[in-house]
Amino acid sequence: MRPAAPWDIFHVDLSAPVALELQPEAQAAILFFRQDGMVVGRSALTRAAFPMSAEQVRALGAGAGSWIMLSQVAGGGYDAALQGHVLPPARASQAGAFDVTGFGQAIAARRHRSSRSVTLVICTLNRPQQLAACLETVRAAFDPGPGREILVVDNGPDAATRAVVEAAGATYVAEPRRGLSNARNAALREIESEIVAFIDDDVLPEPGWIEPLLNAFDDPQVGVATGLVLPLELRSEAQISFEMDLGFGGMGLQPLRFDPAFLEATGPWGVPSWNIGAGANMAIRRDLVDRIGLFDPRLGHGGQASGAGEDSEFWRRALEAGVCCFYEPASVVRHEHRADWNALRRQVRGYAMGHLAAIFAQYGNHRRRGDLWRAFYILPGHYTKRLLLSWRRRMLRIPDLHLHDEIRGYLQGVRYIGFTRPPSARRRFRQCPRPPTRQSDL
Amino acid sequence: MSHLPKAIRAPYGRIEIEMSEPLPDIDTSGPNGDWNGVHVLARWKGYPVGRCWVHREHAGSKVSGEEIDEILGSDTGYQIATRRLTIETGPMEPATLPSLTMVVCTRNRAKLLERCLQSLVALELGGVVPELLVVDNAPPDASTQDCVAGFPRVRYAREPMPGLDFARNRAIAECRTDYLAYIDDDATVDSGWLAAFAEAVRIHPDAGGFTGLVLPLQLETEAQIRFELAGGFAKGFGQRRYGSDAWGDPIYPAGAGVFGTGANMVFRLDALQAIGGCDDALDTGPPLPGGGDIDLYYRIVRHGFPMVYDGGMLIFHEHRRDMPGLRRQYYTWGLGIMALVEKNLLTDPEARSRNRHLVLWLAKYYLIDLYHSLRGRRAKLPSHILAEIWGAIVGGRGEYRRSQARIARIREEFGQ
Repeated sequence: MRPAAPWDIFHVDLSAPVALELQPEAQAAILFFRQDGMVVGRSALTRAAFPMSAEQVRALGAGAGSWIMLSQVAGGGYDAALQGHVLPPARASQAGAFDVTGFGQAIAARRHRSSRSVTLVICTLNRPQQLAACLETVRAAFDPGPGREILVVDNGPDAATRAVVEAAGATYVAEPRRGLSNARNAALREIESEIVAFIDDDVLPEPGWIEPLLNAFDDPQVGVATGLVLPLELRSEAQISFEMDLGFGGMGLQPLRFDPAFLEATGPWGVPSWNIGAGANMAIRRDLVDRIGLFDPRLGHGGQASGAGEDSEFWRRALEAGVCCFYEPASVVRHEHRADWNALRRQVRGYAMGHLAAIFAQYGNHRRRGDLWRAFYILPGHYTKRLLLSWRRRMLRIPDLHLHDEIRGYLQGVRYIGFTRPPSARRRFRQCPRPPTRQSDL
Repeated sequence: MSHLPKAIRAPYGRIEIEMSEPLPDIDTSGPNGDWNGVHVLARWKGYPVGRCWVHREHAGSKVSGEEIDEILGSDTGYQIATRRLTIETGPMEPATLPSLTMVVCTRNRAKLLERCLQSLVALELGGVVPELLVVDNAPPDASTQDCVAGFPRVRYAREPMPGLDFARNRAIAECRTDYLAYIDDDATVDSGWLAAFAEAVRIHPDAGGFTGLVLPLQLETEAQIRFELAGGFAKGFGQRRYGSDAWGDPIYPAGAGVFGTGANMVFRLDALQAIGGCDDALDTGPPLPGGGDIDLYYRIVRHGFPMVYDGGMLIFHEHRRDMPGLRRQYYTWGLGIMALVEKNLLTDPEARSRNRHLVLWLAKYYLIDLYHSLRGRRAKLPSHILAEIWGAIVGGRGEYRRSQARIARIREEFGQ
């Protein structure tokens, strides 16, 4: 049984742990243990564990964080055959050589200021207040300078948003065609910098979050870098459920390199490209778009699109083109989950629907049968199994809250079966007849 | 335990290695060439961090330090890293020993007791020593008293009523310190025990109980090797804290022995007094010789005191030497846990569903274990598992109430 809302979130610096006390109404807390800014461990505790002394926090954090810290120093790696599980070759004798300073140096090398030119793109729709908060945090966290620009795509478009953007000194682009993919594509057409970074407008980045993403591109094979997305607050049941039951793809604490070997190893079962990360915190090379095309406007959130999956479909195309994707958890943003239960249920349906549509689209693009296998065998089997076991979860008082919405979303997603047509049989979405106008130039 | 040798043959050797130094090559056949394998305990600067088995049948008689490192692997690496992190980021001065009485409850086993007391009198931390107490349970002769007389620092107390929990309650009555440790008479205590305990108390001053790691003292017979290979009493390395609830665990805190074992446990005296001491009806010796330790942990946690397990609080225990004795041990485990479920269903209505879930969990666990054992993948023989299941059936069918009736008769006999 999960504790009721609200929960507290603590970010604990392992080098200077402090005593923790819950807020009076909080029923539980999630602790993120940080060392040199990197999240090295997390722990979920119920109300009974508090108050915690600094010594207890230190002991808990050492146990929760040492595995990740050791593997960063001793070297981890992505084992493609294990689909995302990382086995650091951390032998017993290496642990003796491991120390906090060595870890700090390893992290500092990934967090130093990058000289690559980058445009930060924030796509927004009718949320001027949230956008203002986001832009304010971004200005402090982004550390603008030569070769660094902020661009906001207004998918509305509306005057209030424009005022907020211009007040923040960012570039404003209007894209009246609804849909996250359309908005991102509008930005990509505008941009000339080497790297394009994306965050959502309900995300607050931590200071310096961009540097590890940019440094990931030091590897010439890497075309896509994604980062860690943590919850900003867990005040309502919907936010807790999103964090615990749904979450974003991947989100481990180990850096992961997804290479063509990953594709080959997982291809027969449908490539789980959503494990690469989340579109809420990612960066891509601008010239990658020239090779593999823009985001698929049929997929993604908003407008007439399918609901989700545009990012994982894009990553899949990159992988198929021989480009590596890199998940870099040293880059941290905090996401404001939806507080309203009905909004969460809509989101769950949208995710399930978009997920299936994205799988169809991936089959259409690459004709790997594993995707159909996943769409019509693995996913239905997964839902059936959960359905059969749901009585047990109810008995153990950990009910499978979103199963019915997921199944509904899946069934609704079947109507996108037409996406399985190969690209030759349809108009290329890459060719866009009407470029958007750049409002700031008017 | 998928990598068991085809035949488990005694004896096995025990070796300790220090991970902060270059790893030595190991001779699995031992100094006299009669070992069939070794049990390796890895320490890092004295603190236990991991262990592994090297079977001669698999590894041959010579095993290099490199191979041992590989077998010990990443779990041990994780423990070393955790230990280093705790030490390097923690305060520098060592913890001081809180006032502690270490109690050995014994009955007519003077030889074992002497070995145990020798390890106890050698313990000290920063010049401070714990108080030592032997509780002699319903002695048939003076052998225990004579043995204790050889140790001037050790206090002697006698409990006339037979039953381990009578003896434990006598120790509570005799104790004059803040903490009270129970050590079995067939065990010896590692020299790092006090330091680990003091450290655990400093970090968790609010904890009501502490338990520690129990490793084999000898692996001379097949029964001892099988028991230890099947898991034995060991609950892992490193430190864990158990609060009054556990996230997402439907049977907590009723689960069998997650906390540790009665051979090696410490309690805060006021916590023991708050829960009303030990339950005499458990641990009475045959026919219900078990469950008293798990009952203590259960009640400590249900009273809101946290429990702490620390792998540094290490003792070495002499396991049963003969196979019938081992079978009886597993029988009493089943008996004790189900007698306890029966007791808790009666006395703790709030946690009734957790205890019911425990029964389901036990059934599942026994059947899975039996399946693997029948296919030869477990060190635990099918007869051991059947003994445990039979114990559980007997224990669940009124054993606790029968034991209560027996205890009432004993009390009457002794006029209490």
